[in-house]
Amino acid sequence: MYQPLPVGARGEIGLSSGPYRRSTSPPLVVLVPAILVGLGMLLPLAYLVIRSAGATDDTWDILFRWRTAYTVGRTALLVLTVTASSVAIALPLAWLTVRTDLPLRRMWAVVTVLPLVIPSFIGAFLFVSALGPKGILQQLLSGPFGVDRLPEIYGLPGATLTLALLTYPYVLLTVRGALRNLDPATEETARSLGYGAWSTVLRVMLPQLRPAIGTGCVLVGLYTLSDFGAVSLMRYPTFTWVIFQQYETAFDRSIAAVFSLILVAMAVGILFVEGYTRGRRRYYRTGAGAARPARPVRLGRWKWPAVLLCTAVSLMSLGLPMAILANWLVRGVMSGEPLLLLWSETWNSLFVSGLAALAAALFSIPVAVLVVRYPGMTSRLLERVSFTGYALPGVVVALALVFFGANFAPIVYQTAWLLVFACVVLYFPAALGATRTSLLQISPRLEEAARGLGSSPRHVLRAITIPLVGPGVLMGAALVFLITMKELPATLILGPLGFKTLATAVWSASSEAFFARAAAPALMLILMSSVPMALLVMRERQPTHVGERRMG
Amino acid sequence: MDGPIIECANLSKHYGDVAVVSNVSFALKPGEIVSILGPSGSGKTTTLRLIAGLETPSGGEVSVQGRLVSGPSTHVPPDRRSVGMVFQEYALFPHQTVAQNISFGLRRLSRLKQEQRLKEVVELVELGGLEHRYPHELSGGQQQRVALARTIAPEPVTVLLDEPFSNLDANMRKEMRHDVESILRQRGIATVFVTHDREEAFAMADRVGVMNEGQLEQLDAPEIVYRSPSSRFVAELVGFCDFLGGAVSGNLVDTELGKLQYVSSNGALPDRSRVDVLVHPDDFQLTPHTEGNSVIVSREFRGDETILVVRTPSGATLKCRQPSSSVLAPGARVVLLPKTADAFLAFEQSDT
Repeated sequence: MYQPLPVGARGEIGLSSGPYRRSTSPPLVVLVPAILVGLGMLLPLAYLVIRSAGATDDTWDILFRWRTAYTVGRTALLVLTVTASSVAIALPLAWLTVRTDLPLRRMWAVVTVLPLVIPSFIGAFLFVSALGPKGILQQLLSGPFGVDRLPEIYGLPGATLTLALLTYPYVLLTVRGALRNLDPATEETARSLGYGAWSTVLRVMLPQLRPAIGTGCVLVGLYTLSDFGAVSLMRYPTFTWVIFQQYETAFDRSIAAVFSLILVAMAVGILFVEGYTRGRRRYYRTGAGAARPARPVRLGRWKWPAVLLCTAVSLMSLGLPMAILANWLVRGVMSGEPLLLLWSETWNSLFVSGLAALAAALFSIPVAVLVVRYPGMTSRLLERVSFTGYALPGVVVALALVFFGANFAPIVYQTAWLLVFACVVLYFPAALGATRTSLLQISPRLEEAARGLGSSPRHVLRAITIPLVGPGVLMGAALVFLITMKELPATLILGPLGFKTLATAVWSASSEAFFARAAAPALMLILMSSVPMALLVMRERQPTHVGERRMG
Repeated sequence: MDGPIIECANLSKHYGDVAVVSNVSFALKPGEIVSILGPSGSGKTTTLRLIAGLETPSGGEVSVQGRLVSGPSTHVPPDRRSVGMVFQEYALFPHQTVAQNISFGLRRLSRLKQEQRLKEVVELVELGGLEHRYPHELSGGQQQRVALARTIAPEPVTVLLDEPFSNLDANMRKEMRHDVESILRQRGIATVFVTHDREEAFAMADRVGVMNEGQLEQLDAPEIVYRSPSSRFVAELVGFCDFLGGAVSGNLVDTELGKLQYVSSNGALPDRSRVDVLVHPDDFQLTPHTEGNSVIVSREFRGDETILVVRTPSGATLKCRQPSSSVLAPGARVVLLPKTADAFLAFEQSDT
């Protein structure tokens, strides 16, 4: 997950950063597919530019209206509140699940990342029904206590609550990864130099975790920026929602394009801020020797408050939604709602997610090889381009592909293939990040040794590189599968007429308030997402050191 | 074929403005083992990588068995050079067993031949019984053997070793050094190996090359490099030695320890030019004397010998080798007299 960020160095391990830059040019097996990926990634951006260029002065004027500024402000505010809340939730959980003797630590380590499988629109929908007016909580309280008004859930508080509870695992995972790799010797050194426990955390540990926190924040920020489901249901119109409305209602598509540009600019802004605060420091360990695993901190009398915290977060983010869903399912069945067979929705979801995962994972290999092994102008450019998906919200990519499909590729327009393509563009960075991280841990000397033993570049790729990055590639694929499962706006826009996935089934049922009917597809979706999630969690628990790993 | 196995001519490599290797020229004869000694960052490893074809040179040429493999318009890729390389970190393929690793370079041979060669090489490096282990299940020394076996299995015309023993602990290092050398000698494989360990360079090689800031300063038999280093840098790098300042006066150098015969790479030096005279620990006789003008400042007992550090009147320090039975202790006054009438090597002081 640990999705990895675009631009610049990520806390990567220094293995491959030897003084040797290969000056030979990349082989065609790598170069050709990598360039194809780059071109594919550029399509949506090209659209935006073309569309905006065709916009009239009136359209441009929209940019300078108060309402536009207001929407920018609302969106930015939401990004800030969600990111801050996520960090606040994730940091203590990360520390508790990695460094302490928390009871049932292993279980909590798994449970605390599970909210990732719940799509934001399902989460929002469930929170509304639980905490909203006439919701479950109010019903519970109104009887014995006569409470007939709860604080307003709609708007900023609801959107923040939903998104923070569902996205904090991004920060949790990146921080946990960093915390595991953190050499406890640095903390011990600080203690021996007279720093107390708290000042060691503040002065030594937190600064070293900063890049990981930053990476997590970017993921949360970009997720919030491109979220459509939760903000719609919580009635907090951000840019994504405005663009979708424009697309649905207005005839002039260039307004949507201009708004999209603003959204892209905000996403780039987030990446820029992260890159800027990271600065030029390097955070990986210098020097040889394996880091010792840290001795767990004894919580003592803080043990039970810590358990309480984990329980509370998990109940809110996971327990509550699942309980409500189960409840609805049961009530629906009991009240005679036919338990709809979801075969076609399930199949469609599987088909789109599976293909997108496969394609993204396969193409991530040549791009990662080029980026990691052949640094230079071309590969730097390609890397930037490949990460554009991060900055492009689903709505924007979908709009771009509608335009291209309708005008240049009528064969794929209104087919699921175009949707698959959109998902690959959107989530390619996740696959690339996983593959790249994995490749960075493989010493280039291995490939050079193979060359020296008479292997052509193609054979090296097949016999050495691919088997070694395999687990990383698989992880990328699992991640893309998981995110694509939850995708909503692009599916709504690009899906062929009558093409329903689990996500759109939940969406249409919930927007018409057929709660019971939404329960079955929602549970199915969560169930299906749990498979790749399990894979990711299992991998997370066994950090591997390539070079010492047995794979046979 | 009696021509050189490898020939480098004015080999250079720049990264931007930084010259990592400049104008390195040498030839490796059949069956010869050459070591390249130098501090880290001196361009040793890059030189090996240029020969192996893992880097393209910025200038100069590399030929293997008389065939040009790197040149202004030629770059034979590493897989077509028949140059084997053993990397410092061994670079064993972690997903393959010992047998698969060793057979990696044999894939163009018939199955039968592959098996024969594997068996033969495994025997040679004494890895019998470990064929089905994975690299992480081996000790450092065993990993080293696998790396060597894998490299020599396809019978390359030459083998390059990059700091081959630096990842082993001190005891293992000596043992592996003997084993590796005997395997290479037995097979008559022409070898270049890079190291920053003086002892290793001297012990294994027929000739020792010394690199400094990208240049090959000297390439000679170990005794010559030790006794007549071509520069002060080489002397400091290869020798357990000191320098004594002095001024040329006629055909002698006038030093605080008396007038010494000298030779210099520049022939006779003009009178009164300032020089540094190279002094080895065996060069001076040390006699205790209450009015001696030098003082022992420290003593290092090494078992088979004792090294005394002596401070001269001007404050220079010299190491002197003494039998381990020597009872001289720090604080004792001594007189230093040259043991031989042989000429000392003098280097002109560069900044005067």
